Amino acid sequence: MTVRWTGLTAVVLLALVGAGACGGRQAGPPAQPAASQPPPAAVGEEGREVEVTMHEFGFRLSSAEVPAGRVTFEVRNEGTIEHNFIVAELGQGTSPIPPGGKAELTVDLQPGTYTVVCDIPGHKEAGMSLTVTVR
Amino acid sequence: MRRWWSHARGPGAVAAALVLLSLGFASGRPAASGAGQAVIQASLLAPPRVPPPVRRDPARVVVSLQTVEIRGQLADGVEYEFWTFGGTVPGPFIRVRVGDTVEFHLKNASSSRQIHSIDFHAVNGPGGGSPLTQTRPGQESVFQWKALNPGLYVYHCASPHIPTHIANGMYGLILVEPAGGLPRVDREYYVMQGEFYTKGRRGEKGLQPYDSAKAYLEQPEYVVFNGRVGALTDTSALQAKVGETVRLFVGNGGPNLMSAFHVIGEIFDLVYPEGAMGSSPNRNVQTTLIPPGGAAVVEFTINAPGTYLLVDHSIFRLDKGAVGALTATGPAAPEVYQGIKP
Repeated sequence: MTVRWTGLTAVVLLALVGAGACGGRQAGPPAQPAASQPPPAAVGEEGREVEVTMHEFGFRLSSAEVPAGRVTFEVRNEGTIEHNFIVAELGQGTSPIPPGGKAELTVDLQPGTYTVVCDIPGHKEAGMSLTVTVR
Repeated sequence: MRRWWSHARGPGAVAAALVLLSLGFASGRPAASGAGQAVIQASLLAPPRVPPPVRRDPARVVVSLQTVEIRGQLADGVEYEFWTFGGTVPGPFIRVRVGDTVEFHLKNASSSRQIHSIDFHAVNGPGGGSPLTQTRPGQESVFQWKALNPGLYVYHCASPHIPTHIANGMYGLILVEPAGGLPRVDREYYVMQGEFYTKGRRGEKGLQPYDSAKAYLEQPEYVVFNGRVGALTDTSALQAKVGETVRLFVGNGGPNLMSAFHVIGEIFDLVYPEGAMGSSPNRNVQTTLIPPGGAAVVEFTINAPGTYLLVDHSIFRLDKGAVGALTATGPAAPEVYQGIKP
């Protein structure tokens, strides 16, 4: 897909800056403490949108909390090898995304917690596993 | 199978014979140290073959390995996506001597999906080389190290997630010979144990993905020598003749299980436990313990013809694949071994 440069995208990018506390477990820049409650995820035509970036080895989400309902994850691989993005409880996910590539995943989420992983062998264990809270 | 001295006729030995007397200029750049040493391209042989003994002064040895992820046979009708050094499990046997400077090149095939690297247990330096060799697909890394300690050492991939890389087959052995070399024997072979964790139960046909949960439980479906069930049996059995002395370089890639290495019908005349050289060998050993990430050198002389089975004497693993064979031919030795009619 291509990035849609709308006002909503700008909101999402702001959310990305404000919600750094939801970064990957092992790698990536240090999380910025949020000055206030993280902003809610942006609302788009395909429901709520959450931007996800992947790297060796972790995820960063634009929103610390994901709203219940129809959610589209816009996933970008900022790593150097391929990764995928799987919502473990649903068994739904993207195909492997090459370095620099993007993909979208739209799912229906209920309130609770979900685990998102990269299920390429060893990547989850290396840090690409994140618990996402849905409210 | 050829005797060790006839390995000089093998294709790998051709590379070994390429002693480049360019004095310190390997791969087009000056050596950082060891100027004045001969530069040698290492002979690398796939298991169970072993490169010829090192009988020379210390040199600069160029070792080039490629990491490649390949689909191969784990057992009859069972396929697996192996992650390998050089396309085999275990990776090629590397043979150098104490005092050598090793210039190591790691290429990661462009077809790879993973970052790969190497940790040589023979290295004195942080990570055994792994921080210097984290290599993306299609890239190459180079580092050099000096072989300070003789012994038989494991090498393995050390890229995150390290246990997964090892579990998928990324290990091998390197021998650092002591000054003057090892005593001459008639035959040398390379055997390495490892276990595999597949989604499907043992024997389930088809391509079997890696099962992380079973690896954490340390409950493999397969325990094998040299990367697959039957790698050392039937027409692939090791060969020797009565009266010959056989030396086995035995490693354990793990990732989890200790090996109780035993050859049924033989007694190890000599064992260098834990691959340790410089220590006195143990003599008259029935079974030697080889931990994951460890190795042993065992030697025995064949007294009677027949088939000798290599096993992990944690014996239920025999049914998981941990069995190989050595076939010995030659005259019977009734004074040593014979049946008697009751």
